[in-house]
Amino acid sequence: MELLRTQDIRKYFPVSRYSLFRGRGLFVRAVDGVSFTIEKGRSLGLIGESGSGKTTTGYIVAGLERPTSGRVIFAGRDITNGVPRELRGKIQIVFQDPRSSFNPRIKVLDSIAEPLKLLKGGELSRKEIYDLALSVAESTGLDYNVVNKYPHELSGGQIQRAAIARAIITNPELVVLDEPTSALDVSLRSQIINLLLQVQQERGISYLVISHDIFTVGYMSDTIAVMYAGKIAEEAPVHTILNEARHPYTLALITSIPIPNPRLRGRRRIILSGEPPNLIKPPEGCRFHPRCPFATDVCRRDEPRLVEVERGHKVACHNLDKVIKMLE
Amino acid sequence: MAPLIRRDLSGEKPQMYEGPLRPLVQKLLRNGKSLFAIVTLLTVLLIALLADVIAPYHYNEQNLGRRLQPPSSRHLFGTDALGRDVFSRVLYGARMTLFLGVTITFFTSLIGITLGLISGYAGGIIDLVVRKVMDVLWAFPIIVLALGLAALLGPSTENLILVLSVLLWIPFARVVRAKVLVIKELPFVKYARAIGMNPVRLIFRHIFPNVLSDIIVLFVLTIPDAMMSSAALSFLGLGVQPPTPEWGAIISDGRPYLFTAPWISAFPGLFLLLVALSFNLLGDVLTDILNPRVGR
Amino acid sequence: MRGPLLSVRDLRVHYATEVGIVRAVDGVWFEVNEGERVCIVGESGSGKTTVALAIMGLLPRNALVRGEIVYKGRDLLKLSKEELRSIRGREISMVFQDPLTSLNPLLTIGVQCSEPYEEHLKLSRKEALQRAIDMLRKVKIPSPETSVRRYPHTFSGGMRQRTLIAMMTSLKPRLLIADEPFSALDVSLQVGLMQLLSELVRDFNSSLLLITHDLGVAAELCDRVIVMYAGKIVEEADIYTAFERSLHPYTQGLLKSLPTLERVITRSKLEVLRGLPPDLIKPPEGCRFHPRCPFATDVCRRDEPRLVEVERGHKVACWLRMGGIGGAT
Repeated sequence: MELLRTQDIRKYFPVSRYSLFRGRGLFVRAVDGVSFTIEKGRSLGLIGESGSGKTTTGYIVAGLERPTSGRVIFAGRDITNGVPRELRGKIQIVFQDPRSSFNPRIKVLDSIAEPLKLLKGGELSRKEIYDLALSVAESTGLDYNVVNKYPHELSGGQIQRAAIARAIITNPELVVLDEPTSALDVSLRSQIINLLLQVQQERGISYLVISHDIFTVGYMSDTIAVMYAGKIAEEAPVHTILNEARHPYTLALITSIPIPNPRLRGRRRIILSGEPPNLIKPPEGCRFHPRCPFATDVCRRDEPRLVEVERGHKVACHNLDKVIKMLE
Repeated sequence: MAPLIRRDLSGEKPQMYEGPLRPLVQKLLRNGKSLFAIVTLLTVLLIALLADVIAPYHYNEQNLGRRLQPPSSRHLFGTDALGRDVFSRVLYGARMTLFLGVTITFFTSLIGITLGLISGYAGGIIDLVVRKVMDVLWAFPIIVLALGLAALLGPSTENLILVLSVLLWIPFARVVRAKVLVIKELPFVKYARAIGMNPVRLIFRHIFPNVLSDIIVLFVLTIPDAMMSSAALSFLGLGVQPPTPEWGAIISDGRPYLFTAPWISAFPGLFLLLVALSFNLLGDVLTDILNPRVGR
Repeated sequence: MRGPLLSVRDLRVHYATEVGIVRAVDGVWFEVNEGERVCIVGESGSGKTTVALAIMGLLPRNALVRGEIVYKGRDLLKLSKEELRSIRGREISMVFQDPLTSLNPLLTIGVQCSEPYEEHLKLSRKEALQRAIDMLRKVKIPSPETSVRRYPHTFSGGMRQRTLIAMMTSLKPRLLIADEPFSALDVSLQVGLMQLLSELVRDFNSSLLLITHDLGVAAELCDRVIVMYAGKIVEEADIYTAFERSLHPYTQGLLKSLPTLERVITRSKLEVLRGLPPDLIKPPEGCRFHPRCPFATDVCRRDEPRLVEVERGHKVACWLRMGGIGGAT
């Protein structure tokens, strides 16, 4: 059953008139035509690097940004311009930087209770709300003594747990996770990942996992969408992406990530030349072509469309046959 | 992990400020500069409150037989042109000067903070208008404007407060607006918006408390400004009217006798200097304490 | 020259802060040989960056240092400022994490890259600039002749890091220290930079001391790994042993908690290192890892284990693993 659908969403940020660019009507095309679906109870991972547009996409889904064009459909309702009352609290978000995701002047427990207060302030008593907040906090491994403090008194791992508590207190159906573990120490990451998976199991939540770390995303998702320069380059189930990726960018990402296994040092890799893309004036044709080892004339001219090459596996590339040849 | 302690939470109120006041006060008392400032200001406050008790003479008690006398055991700071005891006048003057400083700063901060919050949060046309108004107003020297307005409205204490309140708000608006612009982009503010908090509540709960520390510092630093400006206006005859003692007014009274009876202007001037300095020192130390707050 | 290039002996660095004495590094011994690539792996609070700063003599003023850092027979901690300055940049060089703040935004690339040559080799501005251009070409900065006139902010992150590497290796240092040199960069750029670093180090026959929290980077670049925790070394081994036959529970826990390709595909459970990073003002009694160690015993809670050589080149500081048994991944 479809829970969330984005239809060709775009987000353009206007470039300041007083910038070096001297022109009006210049935009940073952060997200430029992204469409995907998330099924109920399943998770989608968005992978990309800086400038890919993954975070902005996540913010749009969570309602923190309005798309410049396109639609967001949640549980059959159009939420592009705001979430209707009945659906409030059904979509939540956990931010990347634990520090700035909480108001430093408010105690953590109060912040955790806040979404519930807004949602059910009329129905539930203050005591009921706070009791619920505390029990949700406990379910994420925090006790009263920890949450009765201010954010700066907590460690990164503790704040992230609090952020998760705050995100699930309204019984959401979809939670957007924006780089949930990147700001944490390596030894704490598995704690948070396991907590998130446990919560998902218990409550049947869908996740939109956003990260540059393909393995974390892969571990937590069912499907992965690889983004580049504001568009989706490839989308497929996790196994397929990791073992049978077709887009040159995906392949480059997968082969170049440092792997904690010294025996794989000499493995074959696709190394990208060039720099991350300019989002104000993206390359003509396929946005990836300046860095692509397989680029041909067609790539420099026409933008490839996202095409389903096999069931559940979509790729946007003109030269798929070349890539397959190389892989053999 | 420690055993969970359940408590009845219905009595808990969400705190607005960063922890209890105690560590802040402790830090202020430990620092030499702020300690000096606090002691000085408390002393002056005490003087102002107890003027009736301490002052040996009434502030308007004239004795024309004892005009322009230098400081002596009878008149600690000497007498002025009407034979009034300068010491007593300075003590009573503390009341008015402090009152003016605090009241003006209070009203002006109200104006500035409100405008800054609205302008920063709303953006767009509102922000543009407020900014332009600030730019224009800022281009004029305050004293000139103050003089103009005061002359228009007529010299009186109330008008003094009104005029200065309406002119000194710009730093507040600027500081608050700048901070608001930064804060409203922070994740926790975006989050509050996303979960449907209405803007007014959001501003009070999330934005204002985070601007508070900047406001406090600016408040403390504006008081001497307001005091000096009132002193200047009173000096020029457009503020507090005689015979009400106010340090600026007393200084003005002493002007014709600057070389013959310098004590009339010197003593209130000294006090004014000390108080202004103390507020500035306090503001300095507060900036250091309140600003690098979230450090780990 | 026989013997190690760098020998760190019983290094202790304590920071005097408002809230207490932070024991960032508390008794660290290790060596770096010529042409070797050693990696110090640890998380925040492990003390790894402090070690690097101590070697370079870049510790802040509130740092109390004890021990010896012997480079080519001389104790760096006992040298005068001038002597240190002549070594720093010339023989021992450091690449920092953030290329943006490491480069002066007000000077052109050319001026900054020429500095080492002018300072240490006493070359003229013209000669130094020429050498800088050659170096920039070596690190694959496009059009170096014109790039030298540009300012750092016009360069992308990847190019800035290359520039930094160029600057720091321009004098062919004997020892290059790199502190998280790739953390601020996108993955797609990391590979290129890792290869570049690798090439340079090999061409110049320098030694590399790489500081990182990323085990993947360590696996790609280094010959030997030193694992630090709470200011101490808990394990030291050559790269293959470290990843395949580690002994210390911390190392093992770290390796088992990473989502790797196999674990992702099989959806096998990630091992969890429970607990929190250690408090360096009041570190735990005995073995500093014991509060988080699933195997901790009374001896662990009481006495601190010493770093013991279990087999050739493999050292571990653990009461339970000193016998060399218990290794697994």
